[in-house]
Amino acid sequence: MDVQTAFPPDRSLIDALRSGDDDAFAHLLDRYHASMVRVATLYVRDRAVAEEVAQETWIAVLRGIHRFEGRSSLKTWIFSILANQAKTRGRREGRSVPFSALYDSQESVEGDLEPAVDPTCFKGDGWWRDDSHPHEWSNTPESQYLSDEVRRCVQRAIDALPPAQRQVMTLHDIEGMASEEVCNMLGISETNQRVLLHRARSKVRRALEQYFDEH
Amino acid sequence: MSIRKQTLYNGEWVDELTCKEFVEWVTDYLEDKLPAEDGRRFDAHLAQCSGCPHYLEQIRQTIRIAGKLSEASIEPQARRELLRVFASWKAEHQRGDDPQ
Repeated sequence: MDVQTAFPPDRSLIDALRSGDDDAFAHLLDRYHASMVRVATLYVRDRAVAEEVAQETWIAVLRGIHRFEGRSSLKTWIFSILANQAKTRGRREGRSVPFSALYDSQESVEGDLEPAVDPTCFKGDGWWRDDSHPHEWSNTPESQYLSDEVRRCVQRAIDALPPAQRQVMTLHDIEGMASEEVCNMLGISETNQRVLLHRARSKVRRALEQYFDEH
Repeated sequence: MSIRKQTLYNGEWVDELTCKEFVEWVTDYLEDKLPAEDGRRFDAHLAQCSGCPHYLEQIRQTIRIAGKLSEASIEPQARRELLRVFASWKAEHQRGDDPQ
């Protein structure tokens, strides 16, 4: 997100790609491939298959690049091809639940059943109890938060989320997609997206809290 | 329904928000989706509670760490293979079936 401006604009990338510029293609691979694999795993649930789906997507991108009209951003276009390929693959393997089913399910609607914080953390008046009062996680510098171990803890917590929450948090918070893009990709409303994001973040925060309490 | 306590914030009286409600509003707040009046209640709570500022910061840290997970890069083998795919695609186009 923050480095986006350092990349060449779509127009020149597309032209370079069409004219067969290796550097342009390598640049796109470095920029998007790892993300594409991660996004594909949301549909196929197997890293090796996700890697294949990402590779097939690049082939489809090359086949289509001369017809691409630039109505969406290059990234959005690439990821929509990826989503289609991954969905098809997931269905063929019988591994993925149809998308609409995920979002029609209880998971996305019954808000009050899934509070962000365990209700026993609050007193009768709705304020924190003394023994569950949130505190600073650590006095150590920022780098501590970003250690490999902490990242693994977050990754595990995200992996353990119900599918729809996992998808929304992966696209929004890991991949840095805007809410609108996430909604388009998953075919859900913005409100629904926010509810899923809220539950996902709340759970991952709890996992981190537990981690920091133990370390 | 009990009557809500009011609290003075920036010279204005707003309905008090509890911590239990605060934690459910955090995402709407961070995504800038709270209506103005609710935003004031949220800010008022933030100013008078000693626990919720930490809670909000923890959520922000959670998001920041999740963002760091995107820093993985392409496997060298996949990169090599795909560059080969690109080379053969290019060769095909240069044989004359370039739609341009």
